[in-house]
Amino acid sequence: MKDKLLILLILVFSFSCSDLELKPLDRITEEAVFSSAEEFDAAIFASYSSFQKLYQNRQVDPNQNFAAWLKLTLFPSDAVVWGSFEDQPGMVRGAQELDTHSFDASIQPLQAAYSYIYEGIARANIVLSKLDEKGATVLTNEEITRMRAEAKFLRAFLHFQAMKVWGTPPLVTERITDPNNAAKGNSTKEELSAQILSDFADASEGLPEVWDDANTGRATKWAAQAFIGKVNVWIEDWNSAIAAFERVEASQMYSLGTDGDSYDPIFAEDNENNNATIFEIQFGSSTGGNIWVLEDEGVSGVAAEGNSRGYYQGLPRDVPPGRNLTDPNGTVASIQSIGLYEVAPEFVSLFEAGDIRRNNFIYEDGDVYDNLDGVQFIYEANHPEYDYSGTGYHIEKYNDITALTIDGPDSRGRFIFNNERFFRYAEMVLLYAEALIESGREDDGLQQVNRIRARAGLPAATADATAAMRLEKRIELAFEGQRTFDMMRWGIGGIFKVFPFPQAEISKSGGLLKQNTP
Amino acid sequence: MNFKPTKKYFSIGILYMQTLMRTFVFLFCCTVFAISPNLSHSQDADITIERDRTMSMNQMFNLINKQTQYKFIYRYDWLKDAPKIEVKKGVVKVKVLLDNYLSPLNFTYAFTDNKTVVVQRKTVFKESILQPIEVEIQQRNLTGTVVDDDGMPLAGATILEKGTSNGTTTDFDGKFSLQIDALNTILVASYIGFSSKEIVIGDQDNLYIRLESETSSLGEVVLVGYGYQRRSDVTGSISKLSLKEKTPDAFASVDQLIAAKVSGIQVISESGEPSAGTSIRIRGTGTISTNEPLWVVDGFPIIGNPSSTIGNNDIQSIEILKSTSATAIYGARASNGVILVTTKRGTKGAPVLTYDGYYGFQYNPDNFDVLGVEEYTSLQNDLGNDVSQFAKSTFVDWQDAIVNNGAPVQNHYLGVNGGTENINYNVSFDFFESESITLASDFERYNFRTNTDFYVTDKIKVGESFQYTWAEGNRRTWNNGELGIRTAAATNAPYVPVFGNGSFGYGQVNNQTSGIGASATANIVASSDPRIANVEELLRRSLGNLYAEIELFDGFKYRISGGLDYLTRSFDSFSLGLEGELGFRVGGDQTTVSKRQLENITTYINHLLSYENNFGKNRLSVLAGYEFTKFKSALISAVGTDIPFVDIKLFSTGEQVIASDIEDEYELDGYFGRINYSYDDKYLAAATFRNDRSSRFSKGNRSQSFPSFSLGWVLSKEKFFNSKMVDFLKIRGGWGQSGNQFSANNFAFLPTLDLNGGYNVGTGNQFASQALASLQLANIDLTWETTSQFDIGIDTTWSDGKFNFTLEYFDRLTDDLLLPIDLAGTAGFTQPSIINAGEVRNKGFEFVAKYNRSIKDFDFNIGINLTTVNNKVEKLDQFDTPIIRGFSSDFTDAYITEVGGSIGDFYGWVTDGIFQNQSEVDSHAAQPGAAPGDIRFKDLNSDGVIDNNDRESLGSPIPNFYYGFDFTANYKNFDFALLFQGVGGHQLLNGARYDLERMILPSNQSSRVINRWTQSNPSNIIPRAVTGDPNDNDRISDRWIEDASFLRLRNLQIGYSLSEYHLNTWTNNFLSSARVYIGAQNLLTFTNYSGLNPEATVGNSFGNNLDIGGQNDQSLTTGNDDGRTPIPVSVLMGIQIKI
Repeated sequence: MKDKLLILLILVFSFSCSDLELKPLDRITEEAVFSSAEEFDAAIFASYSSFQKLYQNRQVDPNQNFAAWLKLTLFPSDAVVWGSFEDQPGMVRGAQELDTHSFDASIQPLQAAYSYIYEGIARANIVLSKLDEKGATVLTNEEITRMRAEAKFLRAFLHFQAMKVWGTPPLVTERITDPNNAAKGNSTKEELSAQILSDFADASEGLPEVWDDANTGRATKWAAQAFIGKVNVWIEDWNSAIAAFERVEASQMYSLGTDGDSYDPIFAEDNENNNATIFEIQFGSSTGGNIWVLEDEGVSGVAAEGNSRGYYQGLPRDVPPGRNLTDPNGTVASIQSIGLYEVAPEFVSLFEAGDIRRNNFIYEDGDVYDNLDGVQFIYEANHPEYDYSGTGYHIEKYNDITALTIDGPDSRGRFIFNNERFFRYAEMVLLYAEALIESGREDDGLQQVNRIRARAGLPAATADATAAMRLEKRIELAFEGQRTFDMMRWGIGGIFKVFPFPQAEISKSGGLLKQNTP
Repeated sequence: MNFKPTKKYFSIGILYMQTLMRTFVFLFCCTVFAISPNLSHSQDADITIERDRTMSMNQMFNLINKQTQYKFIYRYDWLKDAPKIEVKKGVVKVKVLLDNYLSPLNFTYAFTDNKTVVVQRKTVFKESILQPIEVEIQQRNLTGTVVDDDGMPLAGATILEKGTSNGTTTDFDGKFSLQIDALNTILVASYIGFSSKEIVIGDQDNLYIRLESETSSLGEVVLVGYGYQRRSDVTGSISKLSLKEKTPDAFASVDQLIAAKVSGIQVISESGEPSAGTSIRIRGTGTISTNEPLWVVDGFPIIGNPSSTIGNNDIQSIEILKSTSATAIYGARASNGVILVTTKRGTKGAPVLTYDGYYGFQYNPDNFDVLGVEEYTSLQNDLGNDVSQFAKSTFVDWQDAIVNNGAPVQNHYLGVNGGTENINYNVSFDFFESESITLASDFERYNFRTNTDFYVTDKIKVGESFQYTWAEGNRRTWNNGELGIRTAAATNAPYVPVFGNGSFGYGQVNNQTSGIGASATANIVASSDPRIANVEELLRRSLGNLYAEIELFDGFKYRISGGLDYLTRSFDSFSLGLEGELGFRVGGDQTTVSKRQLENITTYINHLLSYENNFGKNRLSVLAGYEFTKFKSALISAVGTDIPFVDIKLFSTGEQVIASDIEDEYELDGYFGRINYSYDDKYLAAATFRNDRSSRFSKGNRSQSFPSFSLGWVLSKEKFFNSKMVDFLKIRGGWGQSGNQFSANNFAFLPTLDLNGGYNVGTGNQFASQALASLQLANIDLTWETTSQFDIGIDTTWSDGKFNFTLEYFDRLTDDLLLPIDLAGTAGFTQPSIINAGEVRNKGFEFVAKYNRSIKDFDFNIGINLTTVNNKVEKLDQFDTPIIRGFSSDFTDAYITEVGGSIGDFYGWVTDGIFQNQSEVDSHAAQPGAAPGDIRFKDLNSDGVIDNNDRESLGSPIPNFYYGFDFTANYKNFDFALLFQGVGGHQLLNGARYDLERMILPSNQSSRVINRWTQSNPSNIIPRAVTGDPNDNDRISDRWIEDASFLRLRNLQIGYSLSEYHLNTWTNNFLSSARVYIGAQNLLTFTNYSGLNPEATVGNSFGNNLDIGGQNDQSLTTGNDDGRTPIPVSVLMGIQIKI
């Protein structure tokens, strides 16, 4: 009996030997990747894509991000006013408050900006730590140098965006792995700018001047240099700024385009990454898969990445019958943009006579809004039946007819696929002008300003260099997201100095992160 | 029997040391208690009967002798012809066994000091012999059948001519034949476990005798997880719903049978759709990952809630384990309680064919009261939409158009049950079909089941359970099927025609028909037309389970069982491209076909060693086991758009096809043990232990032990306890721990990268280059969520079992919550990461009272049960950061979970009437956009500005109490049942009313808005109608939160059973029982809640949850009523027949 029992017990408990060591079936373990240049590149792209997401509508993620960067950078400025669109409260959350400067720290665009900027930084830090850990065994030295430079570019670029928004946001230079230690406190302006400049300097060393066709749009040596100049403008180190800008000038990589020519080609979707821009945020193509499928929600690696700019700055949905040419019933406008951004009349009044930019940057009464399928649609400031706009003006920049064409029937104007011209050469010229003027070389500065004026078909300015530079920058870079930061930096237009940190981040940090004083 | 470890064990070698260690507890117990028993001479000793069997008297005496050492002394010739006795599995007292057997034979017995029982003839009988009646005794022949409550034949029941020893027992078919004295008119039928019955014979020659099992008897056996226990010995908190207590129900899902019937458990249906999911909470909401209990069907732990795949009539009993002292043996998955479902198994006897079926109709209880045409046009005018050209149109009732009143529901069950000495079987087929009271939704289900037990030898038993389920449901749309369909219908412009000259004869919805563009409205009836849009859900489940049990020696058994659960659910949807001509979102631009198929495979294996014995007054049972479970799931989905031929509904024909798949798996194993000990049935103790491992945690955190202890004291057995009223009184209490390892991610501890999307570099088309990013922080320290529960209770029975009541207190603390938290942004993850943090406490009382009484032919039972739950979050993450969540773009941040509140409280502003004039606006705190007629919100933080900081908790969807009241009665052949269900102390977010009163869109509104604020109508309730709502009157505020307490007459039933006489005379005993009944469900609901269904919730057990593994129950954002199909009023007629 005892033997029988023993055998039985052995039999029973010998089944208990599974080690329960499973691996995910639908995801890659970190252990298994970072074994080739392609995989490192893919991790670098992940960092780029974080900032790209700030132009998208991402209803599924916890941040409910609705083109947060556009809202944050356009509404508080004096060029754009809120178009009172109410239909979908989620889409417009925070817009009105930003427009009237009456927002608090809990508005959604602030949280989204914070989340995605630091997501991108974390992704760059992962690349850097993996390069240290595994780079030497799987990559060539050139690859390691280039990748480290690119990751540092991204880390610096993103920290700089945070600096523009919050002044002294946290500095994160290490990968965070402990969930109980996720929050970081405020940095100082000095340590933040020092880190950013050092990262950009490293980036400039290791990045190529140009990329091959398959990689166009990635950060270049000259983008890093131009940013060094821009960061120095922000910290008012004028000489360092001038030096950096002059290095970029010397490369002769960029141009303002031909005097008198339309500005439309610079912003055309089929002319992305042209030599009028130093750094662009890349978006996809309407022909690349299902445009509704975005990164992190999608199913395939070829998902197109759309930019919601068209959705927000296009006309509101209630447009007249006939607008939608594909629908014989004339029921719904196919272009479902929501007209959130309208142009402030005071901004329109800034244009001098003969400025070719007026026609290229804004829609006003009588303009051809689009000509879908060969039928022209005319923008009417005071349509007897339909209320296009409270101000009579809409943004035309980026809204180039080809960009709005309904490529796929799904698009309905919600996404465009045009790159954001994030750092244009024209901006650099004006930053250069500012640095020159601030360091006492007013005439040299004015000379740079006049390059921009000439491009716009205007005569040279001769006096008050600072005012001329600021006016030119306000017009030239209108609706590109620079004006709000300039106003904050220059302390003009009755605007706040810094944005508040997202309220949730203050509480999640357990007191480590201190709120900005307005 | 003493198998103390000897040298031999250790000589086996180190290889088996682990084995030995694991069985140590088991061995230890055996050696300690296997000493010579301390004998007792009490007639209260218990006899355990292992299975249903027929015994001769000799066998019975032997059995008693074996278990108690009693010897029997009797005159052989008296009892040599005594009938055999049929006994059912269970535990019975010696006294009861002897009384039942000997008494009808007119024998009596006496216990002596030297462990002997003397069997004697009753003196009464002797007297009758002394006075013989000198008449010619006429004999007559009687035949008959004896059946149980369910009409199952009882083999071996004793039939006696009253007052004589003349008797017989029934055969396998429950039949008997007996010669009796023609003058005698009364028979006595008896059977162990059933109340004896006296039958007046009358003129009948063929009798049909139904015996009733003894209800609420303390000898009742309760399933306690891996084994049985006597009700009176149970020290944990376990509720049981037996077959008898179940009433036919128009629900597809068996969990609805429990609703309101037992304490401590709340069953909430998501809506009145036949395939609607349910949500179950046992003793509150303990966590935010999943609160659904573990279901164990015939011993097989199932993933998710299987109740929509089990036929109602297949249920034998449902046991609900509530206290952790009862659930801890299920360890890692038991923290939300355990529900044990036992399906019918065969009973010995000739085959009995059962038909049980009903047919019924369901009715729509209520509609929203909406604006008429003129009121609507006037409202739209206020909102700046000119639709005056429709002001004279006829009113179109869109709600009536979407309702399917009189929707049929039916259920038919056919089963065969029987057995021989060696094989017991139960084979059944069940069919359920129901249409929804909302157009175009339905559900049908076919269930096939076989349960078989083979008694291979006296010592070896083998058996199986197998079920196959095929169910199909049609729903309106893809996900969250019927989401707010009633609201959608109610908000349609009231003059847009349902039918017209659009596709398929439907009315078009556009500027011409509605005057306001089609964006806010749709032809909802057209969208319910399967030719235009349809979602078909198909569910197939094969659930098989095999076991073998061997009795190695007396009381010591080994059982091995294993099973496979293969569940596939597919969702095929179709939407015809109609370019939106029938309105917004009806038939998009392109014809789309999509398919999703989810496959869940669960395999498990279980080894069980058990030992049970009595040593005098000591009763001991010990159990040890090992269990391994593997779960694997896969989801394949594909969408084809722009389908060229709509008749060919294949996604692959689409112009554009997108396919995706997901796979996932996890494993669990654990070993466990339990000791139950009782002394003299007075002092009870139980201890369980389980150690589980889960693949969801890193190696170092993988295993966890879950102990429990419980004690009971039966005061009524004590000598000092002297009460005529109180039959039984037990105090019990316990403490234990159980775990939860379900988190949103099976590999949250492992750093992983996702490969989707990317960045669009390169010239040309700019396809995205793939990006590799980790989306969640890998938390290497992740471990179990642990629930510790303390409870104490009293069980008592009064007045010969007429009055029973139970009172319990529980305190359940869940800590190390598997909390998906939004880490500080600097960590770099926008998706929540899972950490162990936080504590939630649920405490409360359960009270159950039952009263039963027989007054002549009138028997009745009254039962009430009441549960209170206090849910409180005691801790969150390291900074106690409140978790604020929402569920759609209209309701972002509508919920808060914060320390001091409960899980998922509503969150928003507090209203304070309406600004009547500008000076009121000016004197109030700055409220952007406010004007006279707008809602005044309270400045909670008194900072002079109304902003996000002026929000607070507005109530909780978790009820403070719930209760049930049931009444059943029998009068002669009539029976009557009534069941009330009540829930109280909870709030709902009335999303339907939000859509019907917010006055923003060009949609129809509730008639309440007629009373909106205007200059001439200074309402203080409904604000003004104004374009764009500049004051944000519709923000989440207490305006939308309502108390949703309700009391519902859930069930009402009247039945009539054919009497034995009629069965005999009308059917010549072809039918062994027949009952007809008529019933109504949800006939009345008492509530102040203004929506259609005060029970609305977000559930996940059936269709709408496609989470792989189905383990996410949205407890942070529940309790929102978006206006789904309400619970219908059903009227049923049914027949139950046995042949």
